[in-house]
Amino acid sequence: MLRENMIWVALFVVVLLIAAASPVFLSSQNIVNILRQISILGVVAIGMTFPLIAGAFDLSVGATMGFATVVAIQFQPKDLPSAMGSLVAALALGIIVGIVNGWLIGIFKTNSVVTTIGTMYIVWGATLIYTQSKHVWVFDMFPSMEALGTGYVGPFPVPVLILAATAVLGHAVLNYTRFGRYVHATGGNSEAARLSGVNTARTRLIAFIISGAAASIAGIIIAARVKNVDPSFGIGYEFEGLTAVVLGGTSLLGGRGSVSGTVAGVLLLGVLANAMTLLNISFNYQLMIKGIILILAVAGDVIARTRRG
Amino acid sequence: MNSKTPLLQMTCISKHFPGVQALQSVDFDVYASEVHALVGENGAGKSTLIKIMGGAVSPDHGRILLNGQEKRINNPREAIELGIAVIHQELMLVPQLSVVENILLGHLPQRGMSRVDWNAARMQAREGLSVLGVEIDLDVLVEDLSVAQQQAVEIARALSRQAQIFVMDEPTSALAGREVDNLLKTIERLKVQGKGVVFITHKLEEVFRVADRITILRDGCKIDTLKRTEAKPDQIVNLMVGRSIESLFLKEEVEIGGPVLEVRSLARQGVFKSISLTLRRGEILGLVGLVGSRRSDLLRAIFGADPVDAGEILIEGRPIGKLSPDRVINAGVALVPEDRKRQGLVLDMCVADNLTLAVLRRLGQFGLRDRGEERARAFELTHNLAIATPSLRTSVINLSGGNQQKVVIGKWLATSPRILILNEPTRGIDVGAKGEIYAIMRRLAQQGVAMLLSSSELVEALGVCDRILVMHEGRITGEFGREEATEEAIMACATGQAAHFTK
Repeated sequence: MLRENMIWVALFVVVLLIAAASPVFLSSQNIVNILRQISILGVVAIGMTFPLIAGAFDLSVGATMGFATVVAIQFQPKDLPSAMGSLVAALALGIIVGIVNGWLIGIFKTNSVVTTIGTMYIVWGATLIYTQSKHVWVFDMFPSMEALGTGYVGPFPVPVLILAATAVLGHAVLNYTRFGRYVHATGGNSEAARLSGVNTARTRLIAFIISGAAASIAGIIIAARVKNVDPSFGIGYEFEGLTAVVLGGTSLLGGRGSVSGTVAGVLLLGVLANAMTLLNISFNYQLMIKGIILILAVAGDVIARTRRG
Repeated sequence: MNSKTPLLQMTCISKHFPGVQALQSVDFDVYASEVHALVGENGAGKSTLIKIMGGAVSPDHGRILLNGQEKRINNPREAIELGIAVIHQELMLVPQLSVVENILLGHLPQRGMSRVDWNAARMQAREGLSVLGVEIDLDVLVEDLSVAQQQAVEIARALSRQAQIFVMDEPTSALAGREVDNLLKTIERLKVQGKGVVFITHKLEEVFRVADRITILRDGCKIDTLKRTEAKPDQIVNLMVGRSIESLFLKEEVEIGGPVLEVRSLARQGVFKSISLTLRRGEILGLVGLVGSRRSDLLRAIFGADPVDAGEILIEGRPIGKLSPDRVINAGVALVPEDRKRQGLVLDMCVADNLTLAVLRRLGQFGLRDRGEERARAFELTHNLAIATPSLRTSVINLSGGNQQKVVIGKWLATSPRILILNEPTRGIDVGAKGEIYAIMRRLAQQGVAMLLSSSELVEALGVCDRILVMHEGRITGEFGREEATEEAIMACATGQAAHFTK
């Protein structure tokens, strides 16, 4: 509980500090900007939170997101039927990758890090084959689909609303469903969960499906927003997502974590990136700072763990 | 003895953890050539006190003197350097290394710049083991040793580091009969070598065999320190809990009904063979045997946690078919596993979530939780089982062993099982909590629950069970009714020297 709140405190302090340094920072335009920038990472990270709490890493989300983006564009969604097809295909893709991940790890008990790195390569390769390693694009996207990436409802960009909906849904699933309890129990102690009648293999499988589907949703948002993408896009996003999830207090050992923590982690990363840009810190330094923050977060987790013992 | 300076003297030690005063002005000391037993219920403060000795925890107040000189023990490494060796229940060995390497881990003798002097190493290691009167092949990997042998390796390692004080935290809890004897002999040998031994155990019998003095802790306070020659077991139990030992086993007559669980010719290649047994309504059936008797494997197989090769299981006359925990649970069976931390509890989750984990499938609709109902059930269970916890939202990791075990039992009572399998339900918990668990079992028997109790404590099986089955190397070698069961007859079957079956 305490740790979960720590990230919000950290976020609040960072916001105050940056606001003091840069007056532009708290302008409504900049805030909307930050929210829009984090929405894609946010959806991916919320998805990744599920397998991680269940005690498994999903490092295939970046590649899956990239493939979903490519597929959504390559379907050439210019009218309603093709737009529907595009959305269904992209979503199905993430679900399939999730099933494969969950099935391999559930049945063969393979290590999740290595297994999902494997599926990452497979998905990446499949994307390149599918596109013949060429850029994909679409002109005149069906307007309702385009709105998923560029539209507004009132002052809010649609991607931000999708992030909010994903967060609310993810939080509800984790806290108000039986499955959510099983995710925690499976990650906390899979043997005890199994001996309590929990189907731990199925629990992990569903967690991976959620993660894959979330990656697809993020891919759809990007497709709708840029309409033009390189087939290697997405690789590396899994680490960005992992950073956010860990910052949000989800344990790498499983069992502990929350969607709200992940949202805070994503916000913190977004705020920092935005502030560093406002303060004219180059991308190269931003990378280093991000690395330092991640290591501090993991160290904090370990210290919190040993203190309790 | 009192004229000498103690090896270790702790005075007015206090330690406060969030929510509890773990220790309150406790005095403790140990002299050379002395075995000082530390007893008390779980939560009495024994663990905290030995953590302070081992440098894992710093006291809030109090002084620690080693050979009369005040010292601070800031971390486990300093404790080792000061000659204090703590032998934990979970052994601190590297399983993939050999016996020699483990004994001399961190200080392997060297020749020249960086080469290991294996001859010297083997000599030193052998010397340590021979002091303990133990013979182990030096080149075997530690993971291939028995728990008793691993313990010996750990003690030999401490000896090779010139430890003067050996703190042993329930060293016998994972050992079987003869191994316990060997360990107690090892303790005697350490004493002869002039070492001081601090011995923590739940078994009073062991205390009376080796201890010179006995210190009783209760609720973080030192109650008394007695000389063994002046102490009696009953008196110690009374000091620990304020209750006498006979009251633990109050057997009440329960009407035993028809069969609810029938195991027919169950077998698993290389593990157990043609096991048949019948468990009746309201009956408590004991399953005893030495280490290697495969009792746990049998229980896990019946529960569907491990595969079987042959045989079938009927519950209330109906065959179960392919066994899995899921199906067996649905048929009304519950298993309280042997290792509560690894198999019974999700330590990071709170008391309420652990208590409702097995019954969750029956609460709420459409996969949604009914949190109100969950809380009500958890509250009722903590109340009925007298689980001592600050709140339902406390992580179970913060509870004492006895209370953790009650949470495991409560988790299953929530499912209203008709058959309850208990594997070592009182291991590593104190006398008071044991008594409570026996009382819960009696209550369940009266409600008609059938119980299968596997226990490595014969006294417990004799005290609690209506009927006792004895296992030896994967077979049932004996069956005893309550009246005909004696320790001698059971041991003869358990060692494979005899077979006995009731008509």
